[in-house]
Amino acid sequence: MVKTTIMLEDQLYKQLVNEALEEYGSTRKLSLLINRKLKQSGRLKKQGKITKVRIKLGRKLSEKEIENAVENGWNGAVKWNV
Amino acid sequence: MECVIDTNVIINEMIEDAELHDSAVNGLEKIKRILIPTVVVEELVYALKNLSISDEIIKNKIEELLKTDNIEIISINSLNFQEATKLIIKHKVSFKRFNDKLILSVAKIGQIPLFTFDRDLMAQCRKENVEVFS
Repeated sequence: MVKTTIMLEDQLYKQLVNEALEEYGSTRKLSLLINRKLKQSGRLKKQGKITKVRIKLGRKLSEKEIENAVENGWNGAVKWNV
Repeated sequence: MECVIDTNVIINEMIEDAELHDSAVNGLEKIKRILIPTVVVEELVYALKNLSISDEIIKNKIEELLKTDNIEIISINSLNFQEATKLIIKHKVSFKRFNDKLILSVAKIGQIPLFTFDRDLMAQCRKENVEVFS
């Protein structure tokens, strides 16, 4: 854990305080609430090396074959009976 | 610009000998913020399995999508389910087409263009005043 100071917009601060009061009955858990919200948003900058995954099948793959793969793949997974 | 991406675009981008590979690559390069609904990730996995792509390659592709900075995976929420259900009834189609409607609902609710090669989905976009990226 790192202790720091952040500047929040007035309205956001009010909302966070209200939420903390509702959920924890105290504003002392504001950091916990902000940590949770940031994790849930999934919008933090991503880390790690990115390798572009490109493959060759060794044969031409048509638009129709891809549509069929999407449909049949899903249907195979959910096993529609209708 | 930002854009919602359909499964067929990701497959065409990934497979170099796919018919629309160049169109997919060129299109994606123009998009600043790529939005991928969770249902597209699921469809991608099953479609790649259907094309007999190895689990290792599928794992690497998912990791790529998760780590790429301008790609955001969008969760399907209750509004999307409501909208998709309405569209199924409105367009009088089977719930087998629910995934398409969920993808369309993400674009429609967010008023974001949709990038797809699926002609049916393009037609549905036009009906619902959703811009088709091209």
